[in-house]
Amino acid sequence: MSILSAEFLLFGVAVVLCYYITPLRLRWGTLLVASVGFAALSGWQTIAHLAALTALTWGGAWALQKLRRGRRLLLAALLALDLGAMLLLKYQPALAAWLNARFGTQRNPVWSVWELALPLGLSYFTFQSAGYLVDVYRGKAAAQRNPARVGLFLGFFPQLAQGPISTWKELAGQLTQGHAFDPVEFVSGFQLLLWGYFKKMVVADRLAPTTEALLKNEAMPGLSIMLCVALYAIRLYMDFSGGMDVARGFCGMLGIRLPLNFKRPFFAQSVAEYWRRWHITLGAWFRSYVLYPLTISRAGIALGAWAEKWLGKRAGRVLPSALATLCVFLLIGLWHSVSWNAVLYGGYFGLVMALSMLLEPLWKALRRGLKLPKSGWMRPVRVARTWLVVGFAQYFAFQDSAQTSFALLRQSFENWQLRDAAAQLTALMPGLEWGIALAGAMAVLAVDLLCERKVDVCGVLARGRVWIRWPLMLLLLLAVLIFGVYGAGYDATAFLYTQF
Amino acid sequence: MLEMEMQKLLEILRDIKDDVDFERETALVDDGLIDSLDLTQIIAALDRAYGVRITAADIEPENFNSAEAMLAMIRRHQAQA
Amino acid sequence: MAQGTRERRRMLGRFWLRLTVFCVLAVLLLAYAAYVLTPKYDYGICSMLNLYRQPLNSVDVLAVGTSLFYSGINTNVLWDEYGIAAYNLCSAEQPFWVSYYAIREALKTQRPKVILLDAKPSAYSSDYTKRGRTILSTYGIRGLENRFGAMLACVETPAEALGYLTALPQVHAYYNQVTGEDFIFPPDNGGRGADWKGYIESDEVEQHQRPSLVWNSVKRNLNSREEAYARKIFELARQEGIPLLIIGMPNPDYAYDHMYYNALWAVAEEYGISGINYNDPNLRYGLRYTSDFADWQHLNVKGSMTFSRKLAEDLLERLDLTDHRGDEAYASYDRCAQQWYEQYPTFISKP
Repeated sequence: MSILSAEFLLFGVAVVLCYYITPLRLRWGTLLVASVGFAALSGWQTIAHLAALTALTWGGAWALQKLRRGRRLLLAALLALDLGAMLLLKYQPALAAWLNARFGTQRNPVWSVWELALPLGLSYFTFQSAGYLVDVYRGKAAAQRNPARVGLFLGFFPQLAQGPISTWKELAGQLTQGHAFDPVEFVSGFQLLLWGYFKKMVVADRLAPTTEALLKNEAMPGLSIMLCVALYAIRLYMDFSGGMDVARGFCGMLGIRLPLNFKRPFFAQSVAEYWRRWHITLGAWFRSYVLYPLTISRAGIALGAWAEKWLGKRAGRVLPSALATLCVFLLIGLWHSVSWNAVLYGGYFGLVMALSMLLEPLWKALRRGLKLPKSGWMRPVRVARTWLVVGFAQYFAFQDSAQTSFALLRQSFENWQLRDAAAQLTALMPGLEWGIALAGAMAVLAVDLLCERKVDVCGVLARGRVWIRWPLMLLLLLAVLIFGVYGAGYDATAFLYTQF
Repeated sequence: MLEMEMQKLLEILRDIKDDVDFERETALVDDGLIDSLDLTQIIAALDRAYGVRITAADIEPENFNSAEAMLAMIRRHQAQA
Repeated sequence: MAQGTRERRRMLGRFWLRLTVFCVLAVLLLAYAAYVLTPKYDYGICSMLNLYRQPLNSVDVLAVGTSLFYSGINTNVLWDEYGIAAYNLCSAEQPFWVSYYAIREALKTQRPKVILLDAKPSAYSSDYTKRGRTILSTYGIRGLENRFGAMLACVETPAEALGYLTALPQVHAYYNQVTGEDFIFPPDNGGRGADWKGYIESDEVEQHQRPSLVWNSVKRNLNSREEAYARKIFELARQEGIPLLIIGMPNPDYAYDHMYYNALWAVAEEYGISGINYNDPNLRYGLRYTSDFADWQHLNVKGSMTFSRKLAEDLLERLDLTDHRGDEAYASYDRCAQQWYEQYPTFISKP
């Protein structure tokens, strides 16, 4: 069920109504029923996988808490099953294709590809369950007695499509505790929901032809290619953060606070900060469960000691983290897809982060030498620099073939005729549509800028004067319903981050 | 005794990051004054200096938000050993 | 009751009140937005909406049909030269099912002496109108039962109708065609105002030829839906006791239509209904195919005048129509004709 469909709207209204009609203590039951229904409607694979995972997680957590010895082994086994199932389902088509290409023939494939549709939200709920198991092992979370509550945590339907990836501590309590109706939070949630729809339907979907053009690539002028690649980053931001706002806004209407997944990433002053503002919960998950364990493991500390001995004090401190960061980003790249592009994307960011860690004293010396100020005009310079670094990575982000990406990269430096680019771009989309997309993006930029300056936009909208709030909300509603890409003549563009 | 221990810790911390006031700050993690790289360096340094095996389970903002909190965590680990 | 609960009740009460007011405002605003965005020109909405602005029982000849009707039946000529009070309740490619519901709606406020029905839909072959504009043409109908009836008749599944019923999902994409005129409610009918009687002139001139065909009585099967609703229209006319005349508008493309018209006339005979087919080569009334057509189907201004004079004479022959010129109640026809002749002075007929 796409979030853009009329069915989802009806479903959402039904869930909200049922939630507040049910007595306080049973309200989590409504969420459970709704999530089961949603998962079932998404396909038997989803509901089956969720059921199996719930059993594994609930049982595993209980065992981890009870056992005195062999907990490590048990955790390893549980994670192997949990993550292994995800890896198998996600990567077996690619693996099978590779094996067949290498060792089999057309007629006798070594391994016939299983034509399975992936369960909805596979990566997201797998990560949530793995995180929960590790948290129980670490003593940070208690094993839940009721398997239904575990099931709700894993399969909570607003999170199924694209996350965010929540930890047990921040979400489970909220889900199972019934929330009383709070008009302010309800209205605020609805406003966020509407804002999310605006970002997605008015801006992101309108820019879809630019990405399509890149995929088709019929001899586009270099300037056009660069613009469309840059627009992909913007489109992805609007699409993904819009979807997140819809999910968070909807949950806000139920009194549930989902974790933030985007914090105005285009205001980041470094790549490290960018990854703390973009897909926040993914970064946090990898940091908690991969980066830290790797870096402060015995091996990690030993590596640090060795490096200090042979390469100097600084290297000793930074090398374990740098290497672990590189690993993490390669994994993040592969989490998106199994392709060389994914490796390049992850590896690129990993290298940039690792190098910036290792070379930090050099930058510091340079800054001091050139007498560059820490803030002031250096801030927009740093922001622009981050855009360039991130923008370059987008060549490898929007599709899987590395060949195509390099070809596009090469073509970007041919034909810089402004006239050709303008002609091609207006052929792609009428000028009016460009104007609307630009206006929408500016509106989002303005709001993000205000939020970055710590202006409480949400507060004003939720609690401010009626004659300020109502016109803004009516305007937003009109904008979404009139300029949104939906209905007759349009295909509701699927969210880009589902099917992960 | 306490003073000396705190001074030792502060020295280690300042060695890793010299532009943060570890003496006074009480929201080091929450306010983003130290990032993940700093945290891992601190943990490695504490491991070497105090011989305490800090695990990922200990990486909570409460344990690293201030120098006092870190000292308390070190004490807990030393008591357990 | 504790003070806290009373406070909470009051707060919630205020909230529900504010929410209701907001929703009402939102619905009104969205309805107006849908109105602005709906393309109005020849999509039948204007002619339907304008019918409601006509005085009660002031239409004697109700012409219901396709663009052939609204470009060919010159209501100003009918009025100015013959005193016939005619109104064109038409829209482009109007199938019989939309005509049926339009007639039902019109009969609520008008009691015409005759209904003219366009024969052209008999030649339409598609079962359901996939063209959005046909469904849009139903938006002008105020009576909900007739509007929904027409809409449901236009779509294949009721689910499709849901989108059309809420209007905005269908029309929102027309924002790039909105003009200043679209904001005026009720519509200004392209500057023609409330007096407009549904005649839309075509200024182009294209050279055509009288179609060559064998004038036989061979019939071709009508599309089953068109036939079903044609029968409903005939039934309705009989029920209401209003004479119905089927009119075959002259058009250069007639060779294709002929066998369908034969079939339609045969069906009409069952109800004792007849008509006039102006494509009949034996009918000569000064129509010139070389200069009287705007394109392969529609009469232009000159053609509409020639045709309308002939139509008026035929109507006066068959029916007892009162000459309402000079009647105060029909002043709107005067105004409409005056305004039109100001635009087309060369066409004023010298008595």
